[in-house]
This record gives sequence, structure tokens and C-alpha cells, in this order.
Amino acid sequence: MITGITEPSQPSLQVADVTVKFGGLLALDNVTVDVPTPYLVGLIGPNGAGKTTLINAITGVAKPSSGHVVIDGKDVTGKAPSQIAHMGVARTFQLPQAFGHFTVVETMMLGAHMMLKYPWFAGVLPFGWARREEARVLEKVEEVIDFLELERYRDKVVRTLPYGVQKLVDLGRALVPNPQVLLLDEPSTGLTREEKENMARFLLRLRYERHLAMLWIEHDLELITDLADRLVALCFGQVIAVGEPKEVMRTPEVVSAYVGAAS
Amino acid sequence: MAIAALVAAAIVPFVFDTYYLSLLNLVFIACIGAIGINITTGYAGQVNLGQAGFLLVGEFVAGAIAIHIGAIWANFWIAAPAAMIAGAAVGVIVGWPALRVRGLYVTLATLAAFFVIQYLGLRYIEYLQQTLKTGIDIKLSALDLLFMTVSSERSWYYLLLSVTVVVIVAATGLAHTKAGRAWQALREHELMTEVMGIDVAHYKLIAFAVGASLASLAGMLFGFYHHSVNPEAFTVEVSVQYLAMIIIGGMGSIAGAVLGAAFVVLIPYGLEWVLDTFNAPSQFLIYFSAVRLGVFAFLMLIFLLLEPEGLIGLWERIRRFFVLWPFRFQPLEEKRR
Ligand SMILES: Nc1ncnc2c1ncn2[C@@H]1O[C@H](COP(=O)(O)OP(=O)(O)O)[C@@H](O)[C@H]1O
Ligand SMILES: [Mg+2]
Repeated sequence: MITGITEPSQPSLQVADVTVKFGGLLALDNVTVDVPTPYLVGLIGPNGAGKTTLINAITGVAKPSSGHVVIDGKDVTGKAPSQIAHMGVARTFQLPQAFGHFTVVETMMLGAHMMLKYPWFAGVLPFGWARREEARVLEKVEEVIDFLELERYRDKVVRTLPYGVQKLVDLGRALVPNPQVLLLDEPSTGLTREEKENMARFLLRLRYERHLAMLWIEHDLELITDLADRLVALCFGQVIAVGEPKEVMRTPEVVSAYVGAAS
Repeated sequence: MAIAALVAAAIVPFVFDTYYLSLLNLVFIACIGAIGINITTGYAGQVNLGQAGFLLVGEFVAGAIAIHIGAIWANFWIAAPAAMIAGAAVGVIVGWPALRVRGLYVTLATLAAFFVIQYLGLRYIEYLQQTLKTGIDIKLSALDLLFMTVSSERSWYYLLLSVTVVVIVAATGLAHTKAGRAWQALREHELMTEVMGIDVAHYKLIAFAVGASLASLAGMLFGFYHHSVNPEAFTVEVSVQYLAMIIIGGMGSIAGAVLGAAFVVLIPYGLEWVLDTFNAPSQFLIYFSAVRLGVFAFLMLIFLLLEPEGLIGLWERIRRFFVLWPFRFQPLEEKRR
């Protein structure tokens, strides 16, 4: 076991009995998940199990028909996504290319939007309030660029970069505003072995250095079993197993879910 | 460099005659409106077919100041903020449907708004004609600056040049700070933008407000420049021309908006000049003005299909070609860095 980790007190993120329906489809069925700080919780399950929908429900993108999402003890169910982001919840995207026309620095400055307190119209002046704050926040952005070892891509347009680098940029964008809760939607999918290990290294460093509560959707079961403090397995919108990673992997429900999905 | 440009701009009126100055003045006015629609449509992605309506708002502000409040108030320092505030207010109202609908429906809403504004404008003119016994088009007094009256082509040149430069600086500032990034982000993906803590509805409305306030400023200047309020000058074709400016110039680029404005304003005159020089029979000219809208539509198509980044993209490509010549690609070393 890794040392130096204090036992978590109150969970930073609590998902309690959340149900999400799309028409007649039960995408999430009474799902309960706790993510304490500083825990790395792995979320596994076959395609279409409802993993992305769970992240959508937490970030306010999908509206639960029942249940609660609680961040740091505050109920945020039904709040707008931008309000939930302001409570310290950040996420990465399964497909990171949406803002591909920005450079790496611009993408991260976009992620820093919440930290910029000047009124938008102060931007018309080439000096003053807006420029001072942009410079201040740019320093934080540079720290994140350093941390993710993206210096050499700093001014490159994101969509011209290798997929693995794009995923790192998306992670950086999410990290810039110093979130308390970080939701990662398949950060390693589509990456080469080497890029995957690189990504895992950064995520582990985050867990130990920044003390975040992380929920990590992952298809590489070997990887997530090694790294996660706890695993949650979803299948057809239901939690079929939760607990210590190796034990979760051994439960018959999980074994059959994956065998069923593979056949 | 900057000083050289300043000196060059200052001596232009002493080199060119009034005809060319008047063309430049029209380009400046178009630049202001094009930079405006470039914010709403180019940056924030809300395709706006109502720019002519926003221009009209500005012209009516000019008219209202000069007619109702008194010519003494026809001062740039009053008319400009008034036109911009009125434009922003109308922009927010017109942008409201964009909070509920997307894409083509937003465009239809802006088109509908244009017809409403035009209708109200024509009604207002009718009212003026009946009560004040004004002519078909309402004559405006000259525009005052603090210590002078802007009347000669040359003084208009200096005023419009200054306003255009200020608008370029301000719009560039917005584009490179949080509003500009938020606009581009919501253009690409609204939900993902919202998840980053950005209030998408708020920034959509701001994009409409800023775009319309610049159009209104341009309309106000246009009114005083022509000494008249004439709603019939602002047709749907004008809206299409403004869209053409940013499509031809390059969406989401302020330099592109400036280039596009110059291109769209000058092309008819350029063709006229060509026809004149080669002594073409006058029928050509008549045909040309009849098919002008078609010419713009055709140019827009060409650019959309072949050079979606517009003139500014074309320029970038030419520049790269000469910078790299004789190579076709960047040397590997540089790429890796
Ligand atoms: N916006 C939506 N509208 C309708 N159905 C959806 C929507 N989002 C997801 N679904 C459905 O919900 C189920 C779960 O999807 P998702 O959460 O994306 O699965 P995954 O575990 O692969 O991330 C799937 O059957 C999917 O088709
Ligand atoms: Mg998914």
C-alpha cells in the first residue's frame, strides 16, 4: 500500500441514488458513488453502460429525474453546468478536439476563464485591469504547461498535434482553474502504450501532489486496477460492484459483464 | 513602423483627390460594421442576416438627435455613445431567441428582426413627413466634433480613420481576452463551454450587443456622412454584403473583416473603372448593378468552397510560400521545437 495518504474524511463528491432517463431508456438507475479526497476512483463498465452519463449528471449536463449530486456537502442537483464548474468541478472530454483551433496556451487560458475576474469589456483596452489579470493567470497556465511537459507545443494549434498530446492539453485545460473534483472521461483511450503510461504518471502525480478527488473512466482494466484506490463497475446503468479494485475485478457480475460484452 | 503608417495615413488626403477619399470613407464605415458582424458571426458563430437593421438603428439615432433634439446636439461625442447604446439594446433583444434556438433558426430570427426594424423605420419616416413636412429623405445637419464641423471629405477621412482605428484596437482587445475566447468556444461547442464555467447565454447576448452596437455606430456615421436618413438604402442586400465581407475576408479575423470590407465596397467601383477604361458600352454597367447581389453570392460560394479562411487565409498561405521558399514545408528541426 502507498504511504503518506491520510484517510479521507467527508467525500468531496457524493452521487446519491441518481437516476437519469433518456425517453424510455434508463441510462442511470439509482446510482450511488462516493469520491473522497484524495481518492482516485476508477469507473469501469462496457460501452453504453452509462459512464459518460454519470459524469454528465455530476456536471449538470444531464438532469437527474431523481437523486442528488453533492459537492463538498452542498447539493448541486439541477444547477446549471457553469455554476457547478464554479464549485470546483472540472472534467475532461472523451473526444478532446472541440476547441482544436486554439493554440495550447489559448486553450488553457480558455480553461482559466473562471479565474479571470475582470469584466469582459475591460478587454478593449490594450493595458490595465484585463491585461494585468491575463498576465497573472498566464503564470498559472505556464505552471500547468510545465507540469504536463507541454512546453514545446505551447504555441501550436491543438488540432495539428498528435492525439495523445491533445488529450494532455484537454487535461491541462481542466486543471488550470484548480478544481477540487476532477472527472476524467477515458483519458487514455486511443493512446499508445507509451502515451498511456505518460498520462497515468501525470494523473498519479495529481492525486498525490494536488489532493484531488478524481473519478476516472477507464477501459484498460489492468491499468485502472493497478492505479485506482477504489473501483466502481457500471452495467446497463446500475452499479454492479464497488470496492477494492482487485476484489471488484473478481466479482462474478463484473466478470460476466465483460465476458457478455466481449461475446 | 507604426509611425510610418501614421504619417502615411495623415498625408493620404493631400495625395488623393476627393473621389478616392470618398471611397476610402465608405470603406471605413463598412469596416466598422464588418468588425461588428465579425464578432457576432465570425467569433461567436451566430449567423446574422440582420446587420442592415442594426445599421438602420444607428441612422435613426442620428436622425432623432438632429431632428427631435436639435441640430446643436448633432455632436459626435453624443451621437456615437447614443448610437452604440441603442444598437446594443436592440442587439440584445434580437439575440434573445438565440438563447432558445440554434443555427439556422437564429439566422431567421435576425432576418425577421431586420424586417421589423425596417417596417418601424419606414413608419417613422412617414410620420416625420406628415408632421414635420420633411422631404422624401430626411436631411441631416452636419456632424459636429468638439471644435469643428465635419463636412469636407478630408475632415470625414480623419474622423472615420480615427474611429476605425479605435474600433480595430478595441475589437482586437476583446478577441484576445476572455470574451473572445468564450465566443469562439461557444461557437464550437456550447455544452463543453458551459462545463468550463462559462455562462454561454450571457456571452451570446454580449456578442449580439457588441456586433449591433458597432453596426449602429457605422449607421450613425453613414447617416451624417450622407446628410440624410434613408431606410430604403438598408435592404437585405446590405446584410448579405456584410456577411460577404467576413466570408471573403476571413471569419473570426479582424484583419480579415477589414480586408473584406474594402474588397466588397471597392469591387463595384473597380469594375466600373475597368469598364470605363476600356470604353465598354454602358449596358454592361446596367447589367452589372443588376447582378451585383449575384456577384457577391458567387464570390461567397467560391471562398466558402476554396478558401474558407478568406483573403486573410490566402495571404497567410502566400506569405508562408515566400518565407519558406524554395521549400514547401517547414524544415523538420523547426517543427520539432
Ligand atoms: N443525450 C442522450 N440522449 C439519448 N440517449 C443517450 C444520450 N446520452 C447517452 N445516451 C444513451 O445512454 C446510454 C449510456 O451512454 P453513455 O453514458 O455514453 O455510455 P458509456 O458508458 O459508454 O459512456 C447509451 O445507451 C446511450 O445511447
Ligand atoms: Mg462514454
